[in-house]
Amino acid sequence: MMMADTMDEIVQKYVISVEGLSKRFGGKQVLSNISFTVEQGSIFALIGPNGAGKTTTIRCIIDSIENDGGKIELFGQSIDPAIKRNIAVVSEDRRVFRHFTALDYEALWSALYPKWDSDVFKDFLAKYNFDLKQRVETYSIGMKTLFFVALAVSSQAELLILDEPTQHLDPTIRFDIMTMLKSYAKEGRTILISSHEIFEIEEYATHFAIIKQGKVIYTDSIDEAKERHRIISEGDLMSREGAVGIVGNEVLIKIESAESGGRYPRLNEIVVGYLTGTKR
Amino acid sequence: MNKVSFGDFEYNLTALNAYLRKEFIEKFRTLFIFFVIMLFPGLGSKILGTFFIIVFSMGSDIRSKKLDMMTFLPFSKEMVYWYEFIFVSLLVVLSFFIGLPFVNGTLLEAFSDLLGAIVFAAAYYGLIMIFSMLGMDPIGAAFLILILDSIFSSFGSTQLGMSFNPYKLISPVAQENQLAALIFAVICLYIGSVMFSKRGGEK
Repeated sequence: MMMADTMDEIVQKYVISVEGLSKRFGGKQVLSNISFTVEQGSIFALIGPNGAGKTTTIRCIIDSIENDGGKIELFGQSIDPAIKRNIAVVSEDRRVFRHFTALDYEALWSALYPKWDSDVFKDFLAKYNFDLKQRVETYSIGMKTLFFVALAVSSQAELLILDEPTQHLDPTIRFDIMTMLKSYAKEGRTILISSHEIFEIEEYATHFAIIKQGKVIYTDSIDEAKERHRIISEGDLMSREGAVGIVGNEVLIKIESAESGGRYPRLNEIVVGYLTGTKR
Repeated sequence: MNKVSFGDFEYNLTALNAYLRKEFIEKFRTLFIFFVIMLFPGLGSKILGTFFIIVFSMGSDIRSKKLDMMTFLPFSKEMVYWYEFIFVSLLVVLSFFIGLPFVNGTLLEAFSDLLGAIVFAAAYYGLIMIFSMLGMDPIGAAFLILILDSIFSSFGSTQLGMSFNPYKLISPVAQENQLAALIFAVICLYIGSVMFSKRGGEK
């Protein structure tokens, strides 16, 4: 109870605030001046191609590795062990403890997360036919993904950080997961997702940041981003300013006023436009 | 660690319990043979067993980049460092008490061996972390430290004079002066903690 009260006090508008984050591995600059904020109750997607720096950003956020520069705040504070009890993470590589069964994982997570909901976990396992006594290492990659998402959701943490949470899943299970995450966030909790599945993110995310070569090149809410951009044909480009990038045979432009012509873009077109564009 | 983590003592105990349980499930099968070696009376067997337990637990985790699996959970890097040391120490203490009925010599000598094994564990654990955080392979570092320690503590004497070798006093293997060796081990353990907390096994 004390933990819940403490968290209520420190939850601010921004659950995650990243400012000027940079990270270098050896001689390679992996992150360069990354900045974005994640509001409470939102589903924020970090979007970018493989190797763009999404996973490194997540590792810095949860203090798994030390950043070289910049400032990261979670719930308005620097990260500490008490704050981590309200953050559940699903890693991209889905590495598991070799000898752990699902029961062992349940024991570990329920001990570490004070708000653990065993009913949610049991419902999940029953729905997808998990064998509690089976070693998790023997699960297929899709099953592992599903299992870790189940652990994260059952933790009832205020912040979920999910690296590629729908990767390797069947379309129907993807839909279930997206629906579940939306309802999780509706209860005022926050989700940070890293993904390169640009077609499905629009289905459940509310905000996003596009990362390319270690830099955030655009961040916004999905609705605002659509308002601020248009798709026009290449032929109309000569008479327009604010070209962002090419999307197939068309061009994504950033507009200044609502009267601008062209059609509203979908999220994947905005992402492709920024990734193909040269503007930073 | 900051004041928040110290403030919630009960949670830290729960987290420690969860960590130790995880380590026993994951590693005890691998470490069992070294645990058996430590059951033999005498400091030598305990040092040998402790060395390989450190190498095959934390050293192996750093080498195979498994530490993310812990830091993605509600464990800070400091917690991982100290909990792992507690795990190693617990195995040393457990082996001591299981092997106690078979001890040759006095009880005082037996407890002196236990202290010696803990001193060795602290010093080597700290040194291996320091070398790893400086970029060395942790398992390679462990054997390098063992070789250097054995060489530097093999010559000279602890008596003041021409052949005086002060390193013999603090050497984790020789431990000619257990108090000096303990102080050296605590320093190594602390520096290892500071460096590990900063880098967390990142290479």
